[in-house]
Amino acid sequence: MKLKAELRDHAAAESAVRALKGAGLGPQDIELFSSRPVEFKRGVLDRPSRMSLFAVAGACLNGSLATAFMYYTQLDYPLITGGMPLTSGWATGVVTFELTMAGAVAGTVIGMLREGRFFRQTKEAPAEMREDTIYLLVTCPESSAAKTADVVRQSGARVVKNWGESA
Amino acid sequence: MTTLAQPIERAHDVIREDLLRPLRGASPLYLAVVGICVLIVAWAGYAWYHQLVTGIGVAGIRRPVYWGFYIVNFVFWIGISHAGTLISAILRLTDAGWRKPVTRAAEAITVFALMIGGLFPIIHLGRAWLFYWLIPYPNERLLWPNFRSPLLWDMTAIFGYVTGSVLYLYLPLIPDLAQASAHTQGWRRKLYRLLSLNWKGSDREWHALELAMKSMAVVILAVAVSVHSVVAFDFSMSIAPMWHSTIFAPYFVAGAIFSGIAALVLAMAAIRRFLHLENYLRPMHFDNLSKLLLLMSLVWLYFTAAEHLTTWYGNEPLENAVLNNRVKGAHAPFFWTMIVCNFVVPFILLGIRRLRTIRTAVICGVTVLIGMWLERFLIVVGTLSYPALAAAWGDYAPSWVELSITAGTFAAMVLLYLLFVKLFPIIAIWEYEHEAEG
Amino acid sequence: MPETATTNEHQAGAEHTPRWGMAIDLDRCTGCEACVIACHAENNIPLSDEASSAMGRANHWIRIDRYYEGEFPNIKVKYRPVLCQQCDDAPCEPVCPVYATYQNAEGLNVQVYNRCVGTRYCANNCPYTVRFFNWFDPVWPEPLELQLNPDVSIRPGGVMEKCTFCIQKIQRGKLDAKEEGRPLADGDVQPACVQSCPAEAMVFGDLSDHESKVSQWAENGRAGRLLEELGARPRVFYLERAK
Repeated sequence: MKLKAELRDHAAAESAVRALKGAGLGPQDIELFSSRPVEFKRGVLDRPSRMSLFAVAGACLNGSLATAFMYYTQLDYPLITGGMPLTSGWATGVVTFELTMAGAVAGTVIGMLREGRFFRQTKEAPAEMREDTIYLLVTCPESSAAKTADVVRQSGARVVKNWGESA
Repeated sequence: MTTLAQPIERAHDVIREDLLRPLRGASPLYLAVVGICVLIVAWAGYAWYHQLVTGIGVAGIRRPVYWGFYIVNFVFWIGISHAGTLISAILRLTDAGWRKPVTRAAEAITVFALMIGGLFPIIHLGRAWLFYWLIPYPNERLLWPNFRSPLLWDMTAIFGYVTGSVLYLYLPLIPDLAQASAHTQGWRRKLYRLLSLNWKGSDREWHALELAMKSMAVVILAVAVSVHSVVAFDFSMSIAPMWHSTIFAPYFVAGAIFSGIAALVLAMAAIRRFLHLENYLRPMHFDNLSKLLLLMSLVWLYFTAAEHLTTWYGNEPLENAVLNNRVKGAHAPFFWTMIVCNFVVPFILLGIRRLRTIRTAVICGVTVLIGMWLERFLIVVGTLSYPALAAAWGDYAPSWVELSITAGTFAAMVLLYLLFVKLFPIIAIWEYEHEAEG
Repeated sequence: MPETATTNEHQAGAEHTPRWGMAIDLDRCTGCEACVIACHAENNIPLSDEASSAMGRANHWIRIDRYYEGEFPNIKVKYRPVLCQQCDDAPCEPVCPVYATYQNAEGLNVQVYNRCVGTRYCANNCPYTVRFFNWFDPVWPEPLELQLNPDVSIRPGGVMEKCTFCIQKIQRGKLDAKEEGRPLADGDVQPACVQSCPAEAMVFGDLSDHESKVSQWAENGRAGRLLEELGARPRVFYLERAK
């Protein structure tokens, strides 16, 4: 079941997350919502990211496609211009570079959309967010719900059932 | 506990209101400027239509100066587009906090300058309606474009840069759009909700966004350097005298960053004054940008001096014709104006600490834009006027069509910027507050 | 990426592929400009008026460049007919983004009118400034349209053009020779300028044939090429007495 809580500030959020991890929950069960990024030190709420893999994959894919395309099209209908070789790394290197970078951009954006889980439909996010509050969403089994709620309360949070309503 | 919460909340409320206020309503001055810009753009549109229907001969270009104002403008606007890249990418990578109120304004300049600059390769074509032949697509002629041509490199580079810049502007806008959607009504609320991609503010989203921005900062920096190098290659790959210079690629990139900062200073001064954001764009920001402008002025001078010294010392007859025209001949007034605008004025006004104010920064911004435009003009028209065979020497004067379209692009830039400022918060609310709370 | 070598040498085959070239004897040229007129008539070159000529928009695929030496009364005038040099390493070719200009098997630098989109990069890169642009759609006041050459297309506005070594006459010569079942002989094909020169200062032919007149002129001690140092390898040879 989902437990919802409101935290006052950054320090409270950090202690709540630590406490939850001490109670056996992991980063996949914990989610924070805020109107500004909440940055923790390493080790508190680490989410492994494969963003650079996406970027590099996009770059390699686009770069090799572009180079292969140029190679194929220049030889397909060979037209001699200025005594230059038809396929030359020098002349086509620029296009390869640009499209590699474009591929990196595309890969990064796709990675971001995937890792941020942008398009999931969820009703658990707070309907309205106040700037001074950090919202905590914990997923825990029914049996340990009360214990988890206690852990959260002890770190100074207010456990609420419905976010977005005034206190 | 609660007393601690209230002052912070008020500050955040104030910040949010200040940054969202420009989105509401429109002053008479704003509407007047928008109206004038629309008129100028419409006139430029007519001039282009006239050119398309009658023939490109209505422009002033001729033999041997086959490239004129349109290409000068093209290089100029692509150069201006480096504003966002420098500020956002380099300062983001070096974690310079003072950049935060400035990034979105700079990135907006980049996107609009690229859109405008990217029009000119189409405007200057003899058969502009066939511009799509440069795009590789299967056709019944079994022909592909010539990837060995620097113009194809141009097209690829600008395409990549436009895509990257639009994304680079849009991604950090998403959280602000979500917030703006919560605090507006009507069609705006719906628009912002749609554009904010269902942003919920979860830490996963923030984390992914920040990683993406870090990664894109690196990539967009590489792309920006390559884009203006490729534009420089349009000239340096040619064997025309004083174009075939190995220094052109870094020269143009430095010049682009230079003119980009100048444009940014102007945009920021206007935003500060007309949107009443004096608390956010403080003299410190202008001071830092002025120092950067001065630095780039010196870098520009260094490149210019190296280029001209090499040409003068080499004493090659083909290049001497171009150089003498530039320094002593018909183009000399432009050349020396350029030196004054690009170096002397910024050196004095920004180099002397007591003179370095917001007002002098704006003056320098204007002079640098004039100077950089003249530099592009001298490079394009100067070389083409003096080809290798003396019997083919000629000169160039723009026609009303070229002047109208040039004026139209400046008006279009102002217009696009004014519309942007009314639709989206020009200072990143979430980045600003994030910085404010340390 | 393997660098595919380009070759201007013709492939080994049954038919001999000529390498067209031209030689102009500057010591014979009188600057009469008959070649200019002939070229205009043969190639449907658009007209220009005084205003556009003054602006630099007159199209002269072959032009006579005049250079003056010395002071009055010891002035020397030098005439140099300049036309497209049909360079082997033409600087104009690689910069065209749409392949509107390239080198064909016979070594001619061909301009494909219907492919040109009018970027004019090729004209900027030509060191001889021999490329001309159609700024408007051409207009021939009556009755001048009656003298247009049906073998040559009319170029629309926005398209680049230049000397083609009268490729239509080359084609006609080759077809005639094929019909008559004989190989193409030296002197069969003459561009309009060569044909009309009253001083017989110009010859045209196959440079790969060592017996041809143009090859012999090209090997003459007085022969040289224009802007040789730029390395474009032009195929027009100029013969002039050394100073």
